[in-house]
Amino acid sequence: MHSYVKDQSTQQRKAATIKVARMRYLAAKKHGKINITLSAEEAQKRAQKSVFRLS
Amino acid sequence: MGIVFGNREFIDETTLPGAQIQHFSMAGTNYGALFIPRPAWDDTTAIKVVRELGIQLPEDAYEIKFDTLNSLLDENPTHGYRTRQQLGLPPYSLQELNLLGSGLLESINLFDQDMHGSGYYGCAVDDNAQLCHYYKRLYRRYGAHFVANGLTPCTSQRGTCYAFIR
Repeated sequence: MHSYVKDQSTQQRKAATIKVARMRYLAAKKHGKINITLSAEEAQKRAQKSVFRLS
Repeated sequence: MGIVFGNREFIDETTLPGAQIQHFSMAGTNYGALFIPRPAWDDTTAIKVVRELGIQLPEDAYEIKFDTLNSLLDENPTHGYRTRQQLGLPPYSLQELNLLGSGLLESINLFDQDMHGSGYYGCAVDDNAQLCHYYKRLYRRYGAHFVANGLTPCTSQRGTCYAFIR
């Protein structure tokens, strides 16, 4: 029971963190203030050499 | 039909420092592979991975969460894992499921090329049996590809958790 309650509160805390992160991410996106670490063009270019079958 | 990659972006440096999301789409559905540094996050999944796989996880490893973009950024956490049918989408064929898996694995590959993480880990959400089976199949089919990049793949008997350790 204790473990279940602990797990439930952890899940709620994680969900709350994701919720705040989501809101801030979407707000930043709306204002064009997202920090891009890999552009779509570069990702697509690199993926052409992938060992995985992507098409 | 195929995988089309989008940007990889930081999520939010205040709430999840260092966490990045790799976007890609397939057959009109947008997906996100979210990489969260272990120190920025709750350790519940990491503890579960250590227990299930019997391995040690580096302190600075990344937890991976993978889902449709809508589910990943869902406001309602009680939704949990939802099948395509539950999302009102037609089911994927086996070929499409394989493609989707390749999109996820290439997302990990692209991330690792830049970040050279000490490890990556994750668990099937809610221990969902279908997801476990799916991840286990991906592991069997593609796990060896990561060895060439210095990452040792590990999974549990049931496929509940997985990890790639450098």
